[in-house]
Amino acid sequence: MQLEFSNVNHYYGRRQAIGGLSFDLRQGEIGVLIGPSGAGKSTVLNCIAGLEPIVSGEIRIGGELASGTRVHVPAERRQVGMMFQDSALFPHLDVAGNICFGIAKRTDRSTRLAELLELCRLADYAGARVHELSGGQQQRVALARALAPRPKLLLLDEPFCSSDAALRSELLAEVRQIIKEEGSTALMVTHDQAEAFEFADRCGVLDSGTLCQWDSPYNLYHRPNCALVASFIGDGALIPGTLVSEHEVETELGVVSSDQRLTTLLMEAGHKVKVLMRPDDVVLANGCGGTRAQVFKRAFRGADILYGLRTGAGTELYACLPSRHDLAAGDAIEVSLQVEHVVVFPAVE
Amino acid sequence: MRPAAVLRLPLAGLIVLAVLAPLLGLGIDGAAFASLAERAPALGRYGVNTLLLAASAAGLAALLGTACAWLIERCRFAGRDICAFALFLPFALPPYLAAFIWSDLADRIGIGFALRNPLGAALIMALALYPYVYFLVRPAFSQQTGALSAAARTLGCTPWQAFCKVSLPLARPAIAIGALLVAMETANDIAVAEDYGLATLGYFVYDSWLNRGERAAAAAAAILLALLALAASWSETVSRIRQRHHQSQLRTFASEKIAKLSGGKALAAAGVCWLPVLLGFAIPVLALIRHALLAPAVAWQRLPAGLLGTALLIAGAAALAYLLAAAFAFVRSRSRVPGLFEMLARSGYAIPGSVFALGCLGAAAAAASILKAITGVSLYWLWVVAPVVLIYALAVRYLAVAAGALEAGVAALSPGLDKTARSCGLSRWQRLRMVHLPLMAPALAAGLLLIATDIAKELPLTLILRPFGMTTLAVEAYGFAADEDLLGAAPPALALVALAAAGLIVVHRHFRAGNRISAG
Repeated sequence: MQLEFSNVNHYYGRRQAIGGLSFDLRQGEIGVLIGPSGAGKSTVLNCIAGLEPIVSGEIRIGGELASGTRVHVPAERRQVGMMFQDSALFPHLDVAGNICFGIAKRTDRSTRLAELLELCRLADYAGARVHELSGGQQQRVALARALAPRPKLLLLDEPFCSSDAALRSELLAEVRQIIKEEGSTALMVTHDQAEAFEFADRCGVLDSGTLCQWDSPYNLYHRPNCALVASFIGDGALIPGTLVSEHEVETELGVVSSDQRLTTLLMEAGHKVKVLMRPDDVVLANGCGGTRAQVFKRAFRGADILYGLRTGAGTELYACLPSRHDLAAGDAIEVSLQVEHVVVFPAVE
Repeated sequence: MRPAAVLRLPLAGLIVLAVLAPLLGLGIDGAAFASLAERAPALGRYGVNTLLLAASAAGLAALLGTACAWLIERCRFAGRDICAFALFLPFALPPYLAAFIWSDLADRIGIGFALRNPLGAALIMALALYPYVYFLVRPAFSQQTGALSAAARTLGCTPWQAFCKVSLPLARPAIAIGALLVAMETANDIAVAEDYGLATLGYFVYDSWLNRGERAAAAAAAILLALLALAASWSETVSRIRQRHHQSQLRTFASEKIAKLSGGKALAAAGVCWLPVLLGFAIPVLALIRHALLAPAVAWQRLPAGLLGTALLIAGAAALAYLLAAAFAFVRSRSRVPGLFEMLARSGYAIPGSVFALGCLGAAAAAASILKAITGVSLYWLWVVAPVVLIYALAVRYLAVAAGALEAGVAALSPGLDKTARSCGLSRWQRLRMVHLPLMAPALAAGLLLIATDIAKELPLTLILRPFGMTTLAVEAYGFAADEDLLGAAPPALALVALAAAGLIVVHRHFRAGNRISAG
């Protein structure tokens, strides 16, 4: 394991910022922590970088203990690179000066610099001042600077949050490719799940200092293991239902069956449950015996329209329908369910 | 063409002429240049002395100001907030007063000789002027984002290395600006040089002009000093541009970590920060108070005249400075070379007072003779009787402060504001009265106070240009002190310090929120 973060606690004064958090990253893997602001994302990175001491738990980087209850290796000896919001380039140095800042051996500088300038497509800008660069170039310099000393681990603290949407997705792909080419292990934090899904090999949702599910983006979306992840990731609604058998759950819109077992020790047949309905699980079934539902809100998204629907019993759910069906609020339609991944949670009374 | 456009060109010409007149006035006397060549070797020695004094004062002030700014911004210790303000106080005590008081104190304990030398003078200057550096460097430290030193740490720097390789270089333009201002102020001085027997150019100009009546020699030295000052001013402008680039990168999102000190470290930090306050303000002012209690009655009787003169100059010069600054801002905003105007505005401040005074006299004489040639009426008597030239000279000299305040005021107006006010149906005049002026008022008031403090403390310009019979607090204090009558100097000096300190307190409250102004 390149990064082991086990049972770490951190406090700001009396406020707990991280509570018993554990996760790990293998060599060459990219991990992402998603969470709203104030969830403790940056604190996790600062603890790993050695900029904040931890109260209890253990952080191991490349197998070596970096932070423990009585151990705190200072930031400068951890060999952890970091990319910050707003790039945080040194404005008094040029591009080459920034990139070489962390390279200890003078003899290594020119070869490593040339390598990184090439890798990050900055070859023409070695002598440029930081303020002469575009936002995307600044981020690439920040990445090159962090990678230059060949860190054991690269940390990215919402590095794209100040870029505009078009540049962001371009940068995201580029940075991911550079990290993979370098064979680095990286951990990014972000509040943007689209960014996380695109970037991560493994990711998790961080909420008030605790981690819910550390898994692949696909599983996070389709097989969330708790209601919090389900509601935080993607659009969707939790609608009431009843387990009728091991593989079937009955809802107001009909029975949904799954090839996986739905019942657990806590949820047996006959129990009331909540069923996760993604917008793409709901399809139009006008005249085919669907359930009637009324549109109560709509959001035009170009190729498709996201509708908020309310059934006769008052259940609310979302449907993503192609935009050739142009419905207005108040229109009634018939819908049915086509659920690929059935996810149920115990209903909390 | 709109009337504004028609007005612009002549207005621009007038402004440039008004600001440059003192410099042009210096060059009018062709004999001065011939005299400069003739006296080059002797003047060269004066020049070297001036440079050495200015450089050592600037170096000491940079060290003191930067250390205090860093301790105040990055550390927390008992009494830190009071100390943060108290560090500005030496600004209220003009260097010449500090020099007189300290040399008197040193004489009393028999070590006057140790102080009356160039190094002693540099130390006194640094103690009185380091607030320039402190004032400018504090924001340079407080505005640095924490991410920069965090980045340096993750790239292998210890905290001390991160300070030396990142924080300090980033503050360097601010330190350089502050140090250059200290150097310019040092070059401006005449009184310390006189008291400490230093052969500086500033004193030479003043002495040749007023005491020995050697006008050509004075003009020659003035030209040399002006050249040195303009060089310093130019490097200051370069530093400011560099600083702007640095600041544009510093969009803060995470503040720098602040170290909470306790025990011995806190005591040491407090000691370092209180030392300049003690030496630069508290001890001299206590000595002044003691002298004032023993002062002869005549010194107290002359106080109202000094106060009146100071108030008159402040009112006249500040009003004129703002008027000029407003016209200046109008011209500059529509100019293709705003940087040129910025440098122009600062040139008055860069040129030492005694040189500036000579230039103003030359310009005034030229203006009077032109007027006489055109209208047949000689106005020369007006120049001599009323402080017309003096008020004009002070206004141009502190134009940079007024322009900076106006700029800060305009920065407080967002572009949407004017449109909103217009859409509410407010006329141009109503907008100015109800929206613009109230928003700009704090910045303008702060600028006014800074100008007032500067004018109250100003000495060489006032000394040379004041009409016969006119006096100010600074002139009174200098007059007594130059006669070695420190007791007599105490009442006007104390009044001056009290005025300046009161101004500083009000300005400090305004700028505590971390607002920036152009120093001056």
